[in-house]
Amino acid sequence: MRKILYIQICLFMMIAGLSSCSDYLDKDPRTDTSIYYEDVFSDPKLARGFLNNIYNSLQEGFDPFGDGSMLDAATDDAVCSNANALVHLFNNGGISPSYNPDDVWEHYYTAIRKCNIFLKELDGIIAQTNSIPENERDVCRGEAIFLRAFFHFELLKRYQRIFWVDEVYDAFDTDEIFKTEQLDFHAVADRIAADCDAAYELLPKVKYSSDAALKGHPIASAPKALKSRVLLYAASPLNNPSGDLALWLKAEEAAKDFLDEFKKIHPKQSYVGYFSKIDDKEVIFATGPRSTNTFEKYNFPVSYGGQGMINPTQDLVDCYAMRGSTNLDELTGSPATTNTYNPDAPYAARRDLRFEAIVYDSMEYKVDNFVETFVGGKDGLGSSNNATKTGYYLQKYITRSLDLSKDQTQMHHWIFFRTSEIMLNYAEALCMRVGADASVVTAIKDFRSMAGLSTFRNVQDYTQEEMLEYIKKERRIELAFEGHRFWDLRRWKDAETVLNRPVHGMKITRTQVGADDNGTPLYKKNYEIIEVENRTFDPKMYWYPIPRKEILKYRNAGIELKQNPGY
Amino acid sequence: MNMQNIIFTAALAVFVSVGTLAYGNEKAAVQKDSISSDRYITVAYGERSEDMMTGAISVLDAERMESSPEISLDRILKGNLTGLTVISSGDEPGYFSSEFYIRGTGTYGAGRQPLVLIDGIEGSIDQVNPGEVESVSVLKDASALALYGIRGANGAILIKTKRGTEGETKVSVKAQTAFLTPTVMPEYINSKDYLYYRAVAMANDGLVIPSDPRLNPDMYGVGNDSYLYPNTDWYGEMLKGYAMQQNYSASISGGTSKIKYYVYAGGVYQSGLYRHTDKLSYTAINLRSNLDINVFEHFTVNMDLSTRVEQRVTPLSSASSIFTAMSSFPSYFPLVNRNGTLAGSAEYSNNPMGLITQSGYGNQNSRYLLGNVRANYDLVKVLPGLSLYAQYSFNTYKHYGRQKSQSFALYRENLDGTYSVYGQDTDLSLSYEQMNDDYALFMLFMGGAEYHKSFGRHQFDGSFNVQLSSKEYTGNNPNAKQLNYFGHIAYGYDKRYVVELAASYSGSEDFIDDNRFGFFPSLSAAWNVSNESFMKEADFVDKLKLRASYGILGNSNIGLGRFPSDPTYYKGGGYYFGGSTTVSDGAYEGMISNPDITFETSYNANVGIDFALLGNTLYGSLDLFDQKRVDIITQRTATKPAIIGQVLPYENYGEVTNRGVEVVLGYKNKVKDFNYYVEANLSFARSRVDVYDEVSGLSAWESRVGKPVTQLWGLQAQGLFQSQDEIDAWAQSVYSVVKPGDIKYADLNGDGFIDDADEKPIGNPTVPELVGGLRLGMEYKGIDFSMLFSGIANRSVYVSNNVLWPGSNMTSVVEDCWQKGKNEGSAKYPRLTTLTNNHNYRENSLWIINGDYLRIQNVELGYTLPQKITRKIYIDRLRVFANASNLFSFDNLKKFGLNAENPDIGVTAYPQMAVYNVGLSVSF
Repeated sequence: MRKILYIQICLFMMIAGLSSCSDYLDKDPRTDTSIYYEDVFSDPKLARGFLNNIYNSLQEGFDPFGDGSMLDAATDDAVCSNANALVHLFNNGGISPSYNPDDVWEHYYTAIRKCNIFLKELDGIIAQTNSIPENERDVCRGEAIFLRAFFHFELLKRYQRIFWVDEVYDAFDTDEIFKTEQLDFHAVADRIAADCDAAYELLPKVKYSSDAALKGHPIASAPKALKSRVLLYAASPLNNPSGDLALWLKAEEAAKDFLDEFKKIHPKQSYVGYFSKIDDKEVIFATGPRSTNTFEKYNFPVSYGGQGMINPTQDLVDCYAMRGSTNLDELTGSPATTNTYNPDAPYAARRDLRFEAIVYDSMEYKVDNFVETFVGGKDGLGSSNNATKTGYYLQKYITRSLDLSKDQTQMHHWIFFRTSEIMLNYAEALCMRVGADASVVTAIKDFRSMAGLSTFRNVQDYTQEEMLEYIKKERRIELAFEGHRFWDLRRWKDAETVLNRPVHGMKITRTQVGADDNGTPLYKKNYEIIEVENRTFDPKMYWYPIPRKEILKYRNAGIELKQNPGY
Repeated sequence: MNMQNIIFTAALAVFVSVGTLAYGNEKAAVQKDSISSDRYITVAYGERSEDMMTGAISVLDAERMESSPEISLDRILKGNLTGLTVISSGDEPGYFSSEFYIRGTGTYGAGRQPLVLIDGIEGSIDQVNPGEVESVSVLKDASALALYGIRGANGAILIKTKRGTEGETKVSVKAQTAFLTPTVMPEYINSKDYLYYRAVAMANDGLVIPSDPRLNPDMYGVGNDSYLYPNTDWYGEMLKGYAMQQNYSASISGGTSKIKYYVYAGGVYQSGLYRHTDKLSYTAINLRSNLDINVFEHFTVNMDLSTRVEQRVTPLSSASSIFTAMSSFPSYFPLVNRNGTLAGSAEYSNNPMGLITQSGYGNQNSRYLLGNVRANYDLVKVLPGLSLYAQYSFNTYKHYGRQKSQSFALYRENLDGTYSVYGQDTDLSLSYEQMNDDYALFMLFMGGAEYHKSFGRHQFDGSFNVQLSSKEYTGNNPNAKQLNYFGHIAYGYDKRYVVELAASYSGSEDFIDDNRFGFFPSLSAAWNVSNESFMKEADFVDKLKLRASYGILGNSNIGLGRFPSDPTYYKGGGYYFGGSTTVSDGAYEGMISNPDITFETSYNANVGIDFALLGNTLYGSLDLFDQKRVDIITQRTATKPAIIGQVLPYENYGEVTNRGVEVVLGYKNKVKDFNYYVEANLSFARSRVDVYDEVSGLSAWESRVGKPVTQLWGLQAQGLFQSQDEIDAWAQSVYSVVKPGDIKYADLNGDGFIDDADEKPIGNPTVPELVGGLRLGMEYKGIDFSMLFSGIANRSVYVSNNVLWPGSNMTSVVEDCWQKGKNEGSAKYPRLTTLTNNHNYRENSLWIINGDYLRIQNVELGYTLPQKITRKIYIDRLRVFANASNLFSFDNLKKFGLNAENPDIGVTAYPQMAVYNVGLSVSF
């Protein structure tokens, strides 16, 4: 009997042991500080923080590949001196569906998911808990809608046929995800334009973000600018092979709509000065300013502690007309044909003020310290791995006075939209629709006045082609190194010609021609234009390939994605 | 050298004081273990007589461990345990670490390492001194691992420490001293040759070679000013030829019927290889007391307490940065400048001399404390053989350190005698700053009932247990918890048949609801054929045993991160609005959660045979195993569209089959006074990925399915490009601009591009498929000798350091690099460059090299003085010995000056050391 009692006691103890342990593996609420979905959207700081976080997905164009190169080094505007830079792959046809250094497919869909989660909860938990007060929710909604449209545009201009994502996918319901259809260019462009209209209604209607707190946030002008850009792309030859004037009209109207409401003329005194500090008069939408010197470190000439990465080409330098040029012949021709040009001192005479974007030989870079890009000079061709390949360095965005050895920094922001672009959009769309009309001349005059350039004189009648050529050139100069030309050449369908030929540089050689009275040697410089890089552009490169791994995923699910032609 | 005195004094003090206490027990009667003469094997949560064993376990006992002079237990295991692969990192004093693989790799999930248990509780294999270890067991099959349930699938390494036995008090003292030398080191070319080849590289890159005479190879080696044109052998100047090691220990053990005790004190000291500083040493002291107390009749208590105190003194620069500096700092910079300053430039700022002597120093300390209390009550009155027990164990460590930092200026002497300065000198910081603070506490509470009983021919062995375990550390949710109910029933009949059923119902906090717990049963059986009556005739057969097991095990180790079933959001990741220097509020979504996530499951089968023949002289065993791992934790990034827009969740998706064979074969015999033995073990395990997240329609070479888990992938090199025409006619590389002399890769898919889609399996897996050891030994009139070979095979390594990739420095490999007009026909390696060349320097068949090796792991020679002499001075046993480890290796990487076990050690990490040791052991 006693034995049985013992056994019963033992069994009872074991069962008691078992049952008391059943919740042992649950998280201990006293030490659980995990943040759950509901916590985020019901908390005033975190709900808004979730929206703030999305802004980090905006990609600056200063150093998109992390190696000091810019997308402009894949155009005829610049060469990247870093032989290992990924940007070279664009110049020698090295982009394939399995490898593309600018493959942002995942990046932007990640950003888009964030927008969609926020928009979903804005009417869900945020509304229920009032974590963002009702009167502020519209602005938040406008920001999220604008950002989502902007991210879609970044994908659209690269991949042509993309997915429009406006819902939060359940990662386990793949059938539903695979049902989302790949849309063609215009279908996406229309949705972006529609979202721009929606965002415009929600965002603060101020002329420019004079309010410091607004800097970095889109205001009502931003969606209008995006709409202008997307409709311009949609009307351009790449996406409008039949030249449908209705599309150009939409582009023109979108630009005019912007200008009517937001244009404000602030003639610039110094072009480069504008970019090397934060001046918001013309800026519509830019990244939040940060104090850094990364760009300076990449782009100071090599003897100034920089790496001299981006080297403007002779081709770009030749676009800058002599100052005072006022008629279209002078403005579109090479400065070498002008009588103020001296072939023995090509940089001596004054040029278009925007030439400040370029660092050239003998320029006074720092006080009493001159750049030497001649062969054998301290910044000269071949003097080190990263020394200039073209004879030029980049000045735009750079504060020369920074002492990099002391790690001094300067405020930088990346401008996505500024008024000049929309003015050029307008001139281009108008010119495409109505030809070399007086209204186009007015538009150009407006632009030149904004840019601080001498008045445009239309001394004779020009053809639509001539006028368009001038607008394109103006766009190249004005928006140089702002990440436009790479896409402009594509949408114009000019890339096949422009990017299919070598780019040039200036080889300067110095020979001694005696000495002065003090025995200081005197030199004569010889200027010779040289080929720097041969460039190839296969027509398939008008679009990026849709990443191979995505094609394979859809094929695996029995769906054939439309790959871009040639891949 | 003060530290070793302290250790020795401490050891002696412990030994004397405990010895005095124990004196009273010396008269205790000598009693042999009267229950059974069977050999007992450490199994999961206990011991089992060999007759009742059904599982696959390999054991290394203390005697064999002693023939190695290594102070870190992981290194001693190499070649000694069937089925265990040990791959070690470098031998920096106090930073010993190894990867372990039991029966290869059975999963491609992130959690691949086996459980390591010290007397039943989780711990670090470095926290024990090999001298206090009784045995190391490797548990391999489902039967052996069943009780670990959800954590058992990767195998387990059990470390059992020594305990006292009833009998006379035994006192042992051991003192050893050793010197250590690096096994193999790379040899770089001299400054003249380096500059010559560097000029070649610059010309290849189209760069103008600066006219600086200091970069002109012709200025070197011709008796010019040795400060301006030096040839500095950084390894030779920075490293001593050898380092020292001291190892002392003392133990006292014994017991009476009331109390059994084992008390141990051990101390080790190792110095490092750096010259010019005394700041590299490691000291570790272990203390242990294992007590078995018979409190009253049928009630025993085991109480163990052990600690380890470690101190490491190092330059503040890590060994990896110092070795990286030595292997990459230019030889054409002087050791020190003419004016006594350190040499360097803006480009070359990692002066090894500066890093060793003027970067500051740190003291990194570790404290371990492991405790174990177990109370056992025999319920003889209820049911003889039944007992109840309760156990509490903890193991805690704290790593912390203090540092003083310093920085140094570098000077480059110019040709005109002036100096250019880079950086600035600072004094050693005044304050001691905290570094590397880290702590953890493992706790384990368990209780249950055990039953051991024989009736006539019947033998029973059973248990039922509950175990709660946790690991506590800093941060959120500090307790990582596991829960396990487990038990077994084994029945043996007539020492002929054994059948065992074991099972665990265990769960992990990482899973929720129905996915939290799993049931892991195993069934095993053994047949001692040699005990059958029909085998009586075959008297040459001493033992013949067949074993078989089948069971299910789990792996709850999901790798990094916890709670994959909980959606997690994070604070932070704000943005800088309005030119503000402070970041705004931020919040973001983490990886997508999966509420259905659960553990990996492994279906393990094992059959084995053990035999001993010819009077136990010829013995061995053979095991065949087949493991099928399913529900491998995978992220389905290859098949789920990126438009989801978030890091994909963990899912139970993959499958791997892992099969292999293990053989042990030994022979031992005696010719008069001459004893000798030879024993070999060989293990083969080949994994095969069955299910992998990949799309259908991949080319054969792209698919992971069918390949081993750790297979390397790379591009197939097909020689070097000889001309631009050849390049133009070939597929285009997406990695960089290709020039003559670059590697020509096969365009496997023929798409005109050389890209990642052209990568194919190259070489063997990185975890060896074959691992083995061969031990031989002899003893003659007190003289003993043993030798252990260890080896691994069917393994490849990817070499990516500057020994094969000339750049920051060069070895004689450079002569085989393509040079136009010199060796373009015969060159094996691509052209030299000063740029980062992503085309040449990536995974490909040139850099994936056979990583097999066969090594003389240990050799030992000892002499035990005859007892009739030693007894006169009251010494029971006195032995002097000399042993060594890592003596010699046969492999494919030695010719480059690299270590086959780990080709980066010696180049970017501290090297592997050969140990030459002499010692004396005395027991009373």
